[in-house]
Amino acid sequence: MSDIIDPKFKENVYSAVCYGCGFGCGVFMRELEMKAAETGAFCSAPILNIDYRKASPVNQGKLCRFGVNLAGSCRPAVSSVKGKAVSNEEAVAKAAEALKGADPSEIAFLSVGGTTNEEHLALMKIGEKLGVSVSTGMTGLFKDIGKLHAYTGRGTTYEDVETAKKIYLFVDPYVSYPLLLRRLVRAQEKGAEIVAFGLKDLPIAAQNVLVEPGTSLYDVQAFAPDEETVIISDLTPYTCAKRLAELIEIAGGRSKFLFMRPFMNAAGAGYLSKHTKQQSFDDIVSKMESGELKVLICLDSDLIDICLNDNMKEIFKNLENAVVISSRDTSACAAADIVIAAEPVYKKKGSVMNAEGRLISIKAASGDTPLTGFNALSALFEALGGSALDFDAVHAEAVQMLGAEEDEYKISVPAQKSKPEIKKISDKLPDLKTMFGGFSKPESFVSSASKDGETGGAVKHLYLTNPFLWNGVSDNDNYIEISRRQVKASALLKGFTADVSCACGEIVKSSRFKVSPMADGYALSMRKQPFSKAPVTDIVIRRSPTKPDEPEIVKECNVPQ
Amino acid sequence: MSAPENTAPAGAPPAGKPPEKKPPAPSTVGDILKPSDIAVGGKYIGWSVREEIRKEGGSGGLVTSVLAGALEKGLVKHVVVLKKSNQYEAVPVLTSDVEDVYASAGSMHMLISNPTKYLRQFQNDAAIALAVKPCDMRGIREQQKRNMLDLDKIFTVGLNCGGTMMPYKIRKVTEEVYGVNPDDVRAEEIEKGKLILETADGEHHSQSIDELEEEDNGRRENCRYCVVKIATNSDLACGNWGVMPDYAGKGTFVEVMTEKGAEFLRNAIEGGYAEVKEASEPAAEARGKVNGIMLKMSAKTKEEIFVPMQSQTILDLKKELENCIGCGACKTVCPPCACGAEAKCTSFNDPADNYDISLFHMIRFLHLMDSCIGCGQCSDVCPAEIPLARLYRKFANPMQDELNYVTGMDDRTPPFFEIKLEEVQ
Repeated sequence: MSDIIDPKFKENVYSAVCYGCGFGCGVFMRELEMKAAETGAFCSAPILNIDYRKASPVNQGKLCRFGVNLAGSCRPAVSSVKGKAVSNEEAVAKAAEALKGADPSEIAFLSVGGTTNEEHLALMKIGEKLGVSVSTGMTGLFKDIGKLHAYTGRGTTYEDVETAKKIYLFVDPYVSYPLLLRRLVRAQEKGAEIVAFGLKDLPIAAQNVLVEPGTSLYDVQAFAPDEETVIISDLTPYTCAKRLAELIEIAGGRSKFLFMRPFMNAAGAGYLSKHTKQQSFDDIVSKMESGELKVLICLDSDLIDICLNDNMKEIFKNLENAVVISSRDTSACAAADIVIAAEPVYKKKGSVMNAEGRLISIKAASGDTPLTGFNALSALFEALGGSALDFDAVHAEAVQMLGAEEDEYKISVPAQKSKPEIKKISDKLPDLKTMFGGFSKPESFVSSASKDGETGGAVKHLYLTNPFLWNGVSDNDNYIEISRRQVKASALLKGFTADVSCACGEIVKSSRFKVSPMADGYALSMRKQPFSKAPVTDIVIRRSPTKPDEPEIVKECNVPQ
Repeated sequence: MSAPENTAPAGAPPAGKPPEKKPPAPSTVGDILKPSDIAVGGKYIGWSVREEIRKEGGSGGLVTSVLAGALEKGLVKHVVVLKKSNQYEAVPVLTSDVEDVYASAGSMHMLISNPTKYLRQFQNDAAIALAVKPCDMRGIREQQKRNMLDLDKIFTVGLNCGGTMMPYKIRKVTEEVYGVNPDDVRAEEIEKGKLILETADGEHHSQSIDELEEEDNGRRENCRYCVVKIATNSDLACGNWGVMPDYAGKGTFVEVMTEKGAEFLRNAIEGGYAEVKEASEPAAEARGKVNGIMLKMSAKTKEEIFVPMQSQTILDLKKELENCIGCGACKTVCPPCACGAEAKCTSFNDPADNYDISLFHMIRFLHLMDSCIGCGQCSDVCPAEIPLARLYRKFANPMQDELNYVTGMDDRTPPFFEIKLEEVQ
């Protein structure tokens, strides 16, 4: 064994939380550094691998497709100013300069929960110094539902799902928050009745109830929650306020709610910013459009990918300074004037709170935690006249503000004042039928394969917004789902792709499609499609023209009967 | 009053004298051995010469000493150690520091790592030593057969294994069944069918594994029907089975399986890390007896699980797989799977397809017929709780039984590799 090359491996292992969504899955991330034989220096890019954290109380080592491939989505950000790579110090100095030169009314801070509580709180301290609140993107929804907001808090655990007698599902766990599925399987084994409300039939559900986006829950007879029901839904910037209000009005006070969160620390960021006066997503975007906003600071929040406004990249140009503090390379980094690169999420030190309200630590199991992101925020705070932030002090403050225990095996919910009486407000919110009922016929549609009438393949496309995790990540999950009858209506054939046009007349060619047991007249996608311009978009689907070099694939569509 | 009747059976010692208890056989014979006495096939009882390692390491610390000796004397450049963050959690980490090797000493049934896939990342660029369970070694050997790992660069100390437990589950059991604060547990051991937890106050808390398993709280299901309990497929097969009372807790039974194993054991003796004596015949018999009992229990469980599965139809299989979310974790962790990202199971599978059972699963069922080692890593990581190991074994058992082929135990060519295309034609 003496002739073996010794590349001097150095291995760091981090006990991290998957940043795909707010479920809070524990994962080990391994970094393998190798010393180059010629120079003796460690290669700059370590080999990344995940390992399964089987002691995690959240997922017991199990991960979804995104989590399994987590290492592949960790492209580090690079600090830059106007596209030119700079040091972190220079980027921070430029960001400070930008903030000093703007009026508080011209500044917005956005942190949706893509990073730790400690970094979020550090940003809040910078905001306080300037008189600007940190927005989490949820204000619009919570403002709309008013006092019913009190019913969206923590308190229901994943273990409660396993022991529930009746479960009402408003999310598709095969697509969104997939680690819910094993809890549902356990619940089913224990005899729980699972009812899924939505557009698609789910194998896990004993009963699938068709609820269209325009349907009021007051009109759904099967929706009869009681004391033994756990209702699982989610809270995203695109959650329909009226649907949420109806859910709480009908079930609040009786049933348990488990509201899933789309971003790793959305719950933590939400609770830390709870008593602040925030701007909604729409407010921020419209101020960007009007030029009213001069400086936007995004902390691990990719506004371009989250927003269903396909013009976001252009709107970014209206800002004098778009500052992105990011632990990975995102679309927002490419559009930003100033990028402050933080260490990858897995390498951070700190805590995150998952959808259950469980406080989970991110720490090194072996190796160092550089605290680059926190230190950059501290430096920014100092540059604005504050004193350097102490990590431990900020951490302690965050834990205290969250009222949580620093033990991931325990969930503590701070004592709450009694919840407000439920008063019906959904009737004051915009009518669902008006919002989602009509169909805007696409202005133009061109397809050589089109044989049906102009609107034969007209459907409503629903972008299942909560898998925000897939934004910018390569995978073969990029397709739309439609019903069997819709396949026929759109004259689609197996082996062919579909051309999709939306109301603006744009045509997206060669979309893959999957036949699913779901409602006719709809198309679902877990990926943000070029035509995903709103939670519900009117589209027309047609068969893509035959590819001359692939005539053999022309055959009848093989769809389940 | 008449004298009581003598009810003693024939041949019993006279009343009033207790029966003579046969003293237990000694574990060893002869004196401490010299390096040159070590040979392939030899069975020994060994221990660390360092007192603190004897105390901290399981069964006298022989394994720790052999690994430390291999690293310090340059037989390997790295050792894989389990870095513990608590009693229920540890991660394998590569080290070149002998102190890390000493610090990792101790027995851990709750820590299920996956050394096979772990070793793949080093691409045979390092001489590595590590301790393995029998199934770990089976995975390593299957990778070697597929030219993905080079056994010349890997030195393995195999550890007897009666089964492992899922860490989170045992944490819960500690609290709910043992009534012990999980954070107070300092050590664990399996002895005589019991899982014994030692708490910080020195108290021992034990529960019958059979009873735990009745509630699905004991060993992982695949461990309950595993057919290899002694890692005779590694370089050194170590454990405490066969250690008689005179060396209980103080010595490790070791069988030298390969010339490399002999070299490493000689190195440990020569370097002053370990001492060994020849194992006595009764010690070797006792080891075989424990192994036999464990295998008998496995055979019974195998029957209980797989005989009812024989009547399953394709519809049952479809039902079992209906919750699959296509994460691919089962393939990623599969120790014998030597394919990369462009495997047949992934390349032929499209999530947009509408097959009743995805081609991913169908191809994997086929592939694993001749390579499944029954380690259960796939079931451990399945987010849909699909009993994958059971399903893979359902297809693998008949083929492997028929061909008398136990995967990962030797260098035998996998059955599918032996099929010649021209013969099929």
